[in-house]
Amino acid sequence: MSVAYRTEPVYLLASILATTRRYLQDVSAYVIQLVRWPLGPLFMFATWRITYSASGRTSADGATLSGFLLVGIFGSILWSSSIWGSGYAIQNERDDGTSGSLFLTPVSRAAVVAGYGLGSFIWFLPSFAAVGVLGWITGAHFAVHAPWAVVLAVLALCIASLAAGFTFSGIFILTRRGNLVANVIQSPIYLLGGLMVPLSVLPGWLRPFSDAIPVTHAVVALRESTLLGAGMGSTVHDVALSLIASAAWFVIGLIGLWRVEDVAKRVGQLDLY
Amino acid sequence: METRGGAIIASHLRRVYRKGGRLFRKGGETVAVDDISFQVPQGTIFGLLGPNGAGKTTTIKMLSTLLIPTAGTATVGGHDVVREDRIVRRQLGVVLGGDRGLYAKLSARANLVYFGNLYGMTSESIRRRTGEMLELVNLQDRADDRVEGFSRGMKQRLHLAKALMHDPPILILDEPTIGLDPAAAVELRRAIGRLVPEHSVLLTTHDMHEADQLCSEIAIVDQGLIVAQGTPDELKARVGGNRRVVISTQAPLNGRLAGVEAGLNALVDVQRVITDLDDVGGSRLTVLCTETPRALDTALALLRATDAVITQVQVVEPTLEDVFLSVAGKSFE
Amino acid sequence: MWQSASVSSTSTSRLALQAAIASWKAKIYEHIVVNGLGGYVLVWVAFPVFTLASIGLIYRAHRPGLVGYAVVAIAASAFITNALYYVGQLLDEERHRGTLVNLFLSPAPRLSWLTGLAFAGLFETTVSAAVCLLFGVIAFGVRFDPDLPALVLSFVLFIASLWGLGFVFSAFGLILKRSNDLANLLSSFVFLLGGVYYPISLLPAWLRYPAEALPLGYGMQALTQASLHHAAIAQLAPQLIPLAGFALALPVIGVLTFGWIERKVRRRGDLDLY
Repeated sequence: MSVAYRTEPVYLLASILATTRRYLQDVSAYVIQLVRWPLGPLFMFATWRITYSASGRTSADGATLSGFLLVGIFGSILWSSSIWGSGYAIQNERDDGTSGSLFLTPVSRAAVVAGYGLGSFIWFLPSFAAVGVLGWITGAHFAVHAPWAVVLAVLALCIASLAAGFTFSGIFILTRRGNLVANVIQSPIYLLGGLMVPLSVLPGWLRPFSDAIPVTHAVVALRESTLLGAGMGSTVHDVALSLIASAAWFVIGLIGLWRVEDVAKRVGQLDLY
Repeated sequence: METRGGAIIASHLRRVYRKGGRLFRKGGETVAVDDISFQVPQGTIFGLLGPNGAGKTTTIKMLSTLLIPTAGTATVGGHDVVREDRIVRRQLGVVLGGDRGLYAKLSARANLVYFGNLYGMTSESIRRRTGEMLELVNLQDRADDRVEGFSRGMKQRLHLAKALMHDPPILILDEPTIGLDPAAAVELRRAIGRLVPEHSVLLTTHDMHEADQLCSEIAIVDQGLIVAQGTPDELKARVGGNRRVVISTQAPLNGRLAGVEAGLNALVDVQRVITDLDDVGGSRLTVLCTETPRALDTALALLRATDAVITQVQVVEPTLEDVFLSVAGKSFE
Repeated sequence: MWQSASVSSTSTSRLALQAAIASWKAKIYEHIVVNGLGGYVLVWVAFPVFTLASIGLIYRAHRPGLVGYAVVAIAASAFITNALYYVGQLLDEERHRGTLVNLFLSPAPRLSWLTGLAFAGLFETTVSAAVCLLFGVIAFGVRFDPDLPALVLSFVLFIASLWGLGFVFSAFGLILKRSNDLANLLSSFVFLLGGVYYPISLLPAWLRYPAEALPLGYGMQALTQASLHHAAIAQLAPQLIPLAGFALALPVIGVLTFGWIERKVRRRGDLDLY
């Protein structure tokens, strides 16, 4: 009996889900991973909360400290899940010696990257829950006047993070120093993306760098819609800025992915196979 | 399926690597594959035989869409490996050398299921083929164990199962038995032998015995070029003169050998006679000839006439190593 | 005892030193070659600067007095990061490449090549800490008033404590197979309680107790006081005495832990799996 194949759209979806499943199987094989992700953000939240208390601040960009940090850590978890999930997808395959097997299949490379991103997001769900509970306990004050604005902002943040993951999935390989670059970009993003530091304290000359990061606008939209009761109007403005930046990053990411395969196949480098 | 004569057709493939170049400095070039052309007929095992570094793996990478040729063309199942790479990948099952390429933390079954999905197979096909493949490579008892605990032989068998999972008509096997213990290698060779005539197989190996045993046609590669091509018998026939009759005696024959040598050299079939001592101190007579029976009969008769006690008689047929030696002018290793 | 005729034997102490220096050289060379000089500088040298910028900007408006503390403590935290990540990560890399087993097969004492690996990181970390201090001076105008003997003693005791702590961490990395993940988890814990962003005296009372059970808070306090406020050794006794205790005990605990875990891993037979 011969083998039956799926239609193209179903194939694309199935390969994303299969990669997600495989990623989750792989990552859950290590005990430390089961402990790390729910606990890490809790320590991070506590550290930054104490830092802000020590600084004498009572609020940040108009929001309560806990609320401000809660949204920031939500964004940073999404960012981490994208960078270490979809961003690190191909690099991870290379490290594990499976990139050759993967590139021999006809599957869309973008589907594999997306599968990693989805898997990583699922893997981080307990972290989101843990931070949510902690924020609530420590008195984060929420003021939601337009629930759809919140939904829109969360979506924008997801897209912005995924765009970053796509962008870096190719760049990590092309730089040949994936782990290094992934680590390097972490701290600047906390600062420039407004995740853990209020944008208002940044020197003016850093703002253009900050504006070019899609996550920045999405985090602003989420903070305003969840903590300051912003309506649809102002949220849409920030979300639009975030989407424009995300689109640019996506394009860079797709070019990067295409370039990776091209360099690997045409120049015979990158040690992918 | 249109295959235009062969399951795989390589035409003047060439691959040059540039390395060490900088912005204002020209780097060096390494010609991994110079000019390689061959066809793999449908339903056969075609061997690319050559020493390490001959260009076999680079050729395989070009044919399996992992590397774009610097020049030349190739088709797999009638499809161009550069322009129609996605179609080629669907038709092709590839086993790359070495024991990497599998997800170590996943079970054998989970690996096959994942690759089934990456090839776009339906759930029902994946389920059925996973069972069939595990049975084919005799891993059904370890199906749910993590691959990290597998021996190298088991990993290689799983690689074969992975390559066959989507039932491709064409297979490329790159050094599939490398690093395996003799028993595991024999088992894997049996499995490979059973793949024809349902599949067309391109096999690379530097094991001449393996090529001789499995392939119906062989191309010998050296320094990026095919230096000889044909069936194993055809290739060996080219160096037919290298058939050897080797006879050992219990004690050294010393002066008595001169008459034996003269008698053998008188035969037209005999090209050369070499005498030396064997490992245990007896005389050893090596007769290079084109016609084995007559040389053997004559040698035995002449030796008996000297009252020599014969301890061992060997007739050594030409091997592919002799072929390589003859066409490349150097030893295989 | 069989001995090769062509290979001369060497004493254990010399072998240990030889192994330590070889590991140190190999890692420094590898890092520069693999990362390229630019990447090397970017990650290992300039990495903590962004964190310092974030914390400095938060403190600058309302608690400028804490900026100096943050500059010195974040510079010193580079050494904590080194202890947490470096040796464990290098062992992870060796395992991934399949070369870990070679280190274990060598007759050199574990302590020697582990020290070599740790010192490879120490060199990079010292440069990184110096860049942080320089950044503090340029960006935030921090001024130092050091008491040199107190500073040197604080630093030596701090490094010795971290050295021991690093062995303990890398031992657990050996058994958990993911030193990097372990280091990520522990670093978030250590940054909470280690007095890196703030003095541990500012922690809530219930968090101060676990913080005082670690050498880090004492080290940070001693280093900041000695470098910013000219505190002499006698003035720093409350910090230096417990720190000296950690400096003596932790390396011993570290080596014992490593040996114990290595035996456990060898019994389990998965030293080289990943």
